[in-house]
This record gives sequence, C-alpha cells and structure tokens, in this order.
Amino acid sequence: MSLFLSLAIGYLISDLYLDPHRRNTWLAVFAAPGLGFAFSSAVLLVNLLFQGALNFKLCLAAHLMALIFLLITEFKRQRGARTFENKAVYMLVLLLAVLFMSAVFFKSPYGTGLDVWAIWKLKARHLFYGQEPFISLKAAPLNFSHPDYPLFYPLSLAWGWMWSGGQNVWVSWFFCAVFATGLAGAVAWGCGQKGWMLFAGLFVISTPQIMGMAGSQYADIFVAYFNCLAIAIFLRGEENFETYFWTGIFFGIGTFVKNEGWLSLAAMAFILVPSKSRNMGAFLAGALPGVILCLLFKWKIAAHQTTAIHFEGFQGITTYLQFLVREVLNENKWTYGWIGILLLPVLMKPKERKIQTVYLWFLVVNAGYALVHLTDGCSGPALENHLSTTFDRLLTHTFPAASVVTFAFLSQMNRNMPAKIIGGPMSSAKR
Amino acid sequence: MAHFLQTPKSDLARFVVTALLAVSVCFGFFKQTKTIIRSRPDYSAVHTEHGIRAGELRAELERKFFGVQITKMKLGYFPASQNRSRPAEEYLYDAQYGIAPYYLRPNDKSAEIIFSE
Repeated sequence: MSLFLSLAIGYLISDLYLDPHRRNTWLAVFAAPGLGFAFSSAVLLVNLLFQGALNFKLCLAAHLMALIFLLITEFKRQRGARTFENKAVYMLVLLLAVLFMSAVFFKSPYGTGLDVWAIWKLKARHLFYGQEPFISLKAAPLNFSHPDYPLFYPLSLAWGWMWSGGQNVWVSWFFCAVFATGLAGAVAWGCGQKGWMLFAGLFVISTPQIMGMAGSQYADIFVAYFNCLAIAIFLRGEENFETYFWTGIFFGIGTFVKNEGWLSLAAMAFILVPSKSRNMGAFLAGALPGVILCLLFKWKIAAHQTTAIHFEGFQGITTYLQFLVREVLNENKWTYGWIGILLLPVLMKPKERKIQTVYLWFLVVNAGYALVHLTDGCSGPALENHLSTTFDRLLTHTFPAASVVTFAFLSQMNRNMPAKIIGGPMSSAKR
Repeated sequence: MAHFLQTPKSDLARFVVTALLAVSVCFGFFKQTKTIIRSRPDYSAVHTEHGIRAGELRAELERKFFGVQITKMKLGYFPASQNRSRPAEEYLYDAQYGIAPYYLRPNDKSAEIIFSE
C-alpha cells in the first residue's frame, strides 16, 4: 500500500506541476514513480536524520498530508479529464516490459547478483530492522557494501516493508517493475512520433541487458530511468524555464540514487554553462532538491572511503578500449543496439542543437566513466576484474537515454515529417 | 536541411541504422525468450545446498565472523547467481566482508543468521 501511496503522490505532482496543462498525459504517468519515490525517500531520510531511526507513523502522516494537499490543489484547479493518446502503443510496450521482467522475477525472485544483496538490500535491512542505522551503516564489516552509496533504493524498500510489517519480495518486485516500465515508456514518449514510439519502446524492452537488470533488481535501472527521463524532457520540451527546470529535477534526483548520478548532472551542467544558456539557472534550480538530499546523506550518514588516484597510462587505455569494443559487440547483452546507436551520429551529423547537446552529454558521461576507471588505482588484472564487474552496468545508465536521442534523430530525419519535431509536445497536445 | 535530407547518402544511412535496430529488436526478443525458457529457477538448488552443508557452514562462519556465537541459524532460500547454485564457499567469502549475517550490529556478541527472506 505504501508503494501505491508514493505512486499516487508522484502522479499528482506530475499532473499538477510537470504537466499542468494536461498535454502530455503519458509523461505524467512515466514520471510518477521517480517523483513519488523521491518524495518518499526524502521523507524517510529526514525522519532518519531527526530521530535516528525510521518511524512508520510519522512517515505515513507526512505522506497523507502531502496527498491531501495535492488532492485539494487538484480539486481547486478544476481541469477536465485527461486524454490518453496512443493508448494501444503504450499499453503494448508496458505489457511486454512487465511480461519479460516477470519471467526474470519468477526465475530468480530474490534478485540475482551480489551487489543487489550486499549493497542495496543489506542497507534496507539495516534501515528497517536496525536500532541504530547511523552506526551500523558505517560499521567496518559493511565496508564492502559501500557506505557512501546514497539511500534512495534502500529507503524505498524499507518504506514498502514498513507498511507490510516485514521483508518480502513483493516490494522489490513492484518497485523495480514500476521503474522499468516507466523507463520503457519514457523512451517511447521521448522520440515523439507515433510510428517511432512503438519501435523505440520495443527496442529498449528487447535489449536483454536492460530487462535483465530490471528483473534482477539492480539499482542501475533507476539511474538509467532518471537519466532517460531527464533527456526525454530536455529533447521534447520547448526552450523555456520549465523544460530546463524539470531536466534538472530528474538529474538532481539521480544523484541520490547512485554516485554515478553526479556525473550525469555534472556532464549536463558542463555542457550548458559554456553555451551560456539563458535557462542554465532553471536547470541548476531544478537540480537543487535532489542534490541537497544527497548532500544531507553524505554529510550526516555516509562513511567516506578514500581511493588513491593513479593513472594507468597506455596499458590501462588499451585494456579499457578492448573492454569497450567487446562490450559494445556483446550481442547476448545488447544485441546490435549499441552498434546502431553509435553508427547513426557517425553516418549523419546531427544539426539540431538539442540533439547535439544530448550526444555531447553522452560522450562526456562515458568519458567520465573511463577516467574513473583509469585513475582509481586498479591496474593489470585488478583493472580487468573491475571492468568485468562494472562496465556493462555503467553502459546501462546511458543506454536508454542514448536510445531516446537515436529515435528522436531518426524520426527527425524522416522526410515525411516536419524537419523540426523537437520542441513542441511539452506544450502542444498531439503530434 | 530539407535538401540535405533528400540526398541518397542520408536515405541510405537512415535505412541502414533503422534496419540494424529492427534486426536488433527481433534478435533481442528471440534471445530473451530463449534464455527464459532454458534457464532453471535458481532457488531450489540453493535450498538443497544449504541443507547439506548447514553444520559446516555455521562453524566456519563463527570462526570467520570475529568470534560471534551463532545462536540460531535459519536456512532457506537465498539469492544465487543466475543459473547456478550458491555454494557455501561463497558465503564464507561474503562473510569475510561482513555480509552473510545480514542483521548483525557492530557490538553483538551473538547472532541469529537468517539466510532467507
């Protein structure tokens, strides 16, 4: 029930503020999990900071108050009913996403992979059962589970368990399913044209790595979701305050999901600052709530680990490039997705400014990942081991966003369509 | 822009990439369906493994886990890497990093180890 409460709050925030004119119904639906669970994890974090442990009644009261406030605001606005355009396309995409994810859930109900347990569920257990999570989350035996990783996922799981009274698989299933379907929907919505929407949605669902990560309950799917939604809004929004503000909001929340979210946010800021965009302020203002949330966690709860910086040199670059090529060509994980995504801008130079910006963002983020890998002190077999355990997950972060820009670019190239398709649907009804 | 888009080069590029992505979609669905059909659920095997090795595992964990006495050990399902069971050795590896007894606070002298949900 608590998860539905978070979703309802997320949907109402989307409906009232992200899409106040009700012109992008599906955007409000796909943004609901991100906004709802960001709100819930913020409430739980504040509760944790003030009381030292989670208190279900207080958290529930905060959620109910928010829900009542949003419902009153909704009533006061007295808007007409929403219309869901392209229902069949979106429903097909969402149903297929649920179908493929469910298969993984049933095969491996508790989530595969050490990280899911050793990092995320372990922290959630400490938050839910622990008398003193402030102390236990920093304890030496937990060093392996990265005490500096943000708490969006563990807090959301703990919120689900708090209502149901104990740990169970349903909460993590539901949580991962809403984000993965939101991700697939956001990719479909992001490309902007009906025919391409279905193609884009099917493309992301058909990629084994994406559905595998979602079904295996990895946190990387949430990073991918926030990156993808931010990029989709950036691409489809008009050149105005709202677009940049909401792009900033989703990049900002991404920082509270995983540390990699900082790189996504910094990359976009890095690109927008030299362009002297008038809306840079809106972007930074949007990012602020998520960033404050993450900094609060880093300041009060996180234990910091230091890593020696050591540049690997030519040997490291060679190893990195070998991994890059091997991973991009790995058809068991990505089929031919990366080849198509990377081939398009090579064959066709994008002319549209926003599309250029997103391609640049993609390059900067991945260059940032490469720099981290090459300077984090690993060398030789240790670097290879590090790459083999993390490289595909880092690519997962940018794959859906890269899919959005690929399909937006392809649909823009379609000669039967107006040359400029980006820049309308945030404010225009249908396309 | 319109003139540029009408050149054969752009048509060809668009066709090549679209075709590649379409093939990718078909192959991806085929691949995922095949994996789902062929892979075995990964909890039953783990359950059996625990049952066999419970005593040995408890002794090892007590030794490795900074002297904590394990008062009760509940065995059951536990996440395993896909398509294979999770041998006790991997728990011991995890234990070195403080992972196996999920709910163990720093000053505890004894612990209940619960492997299952």
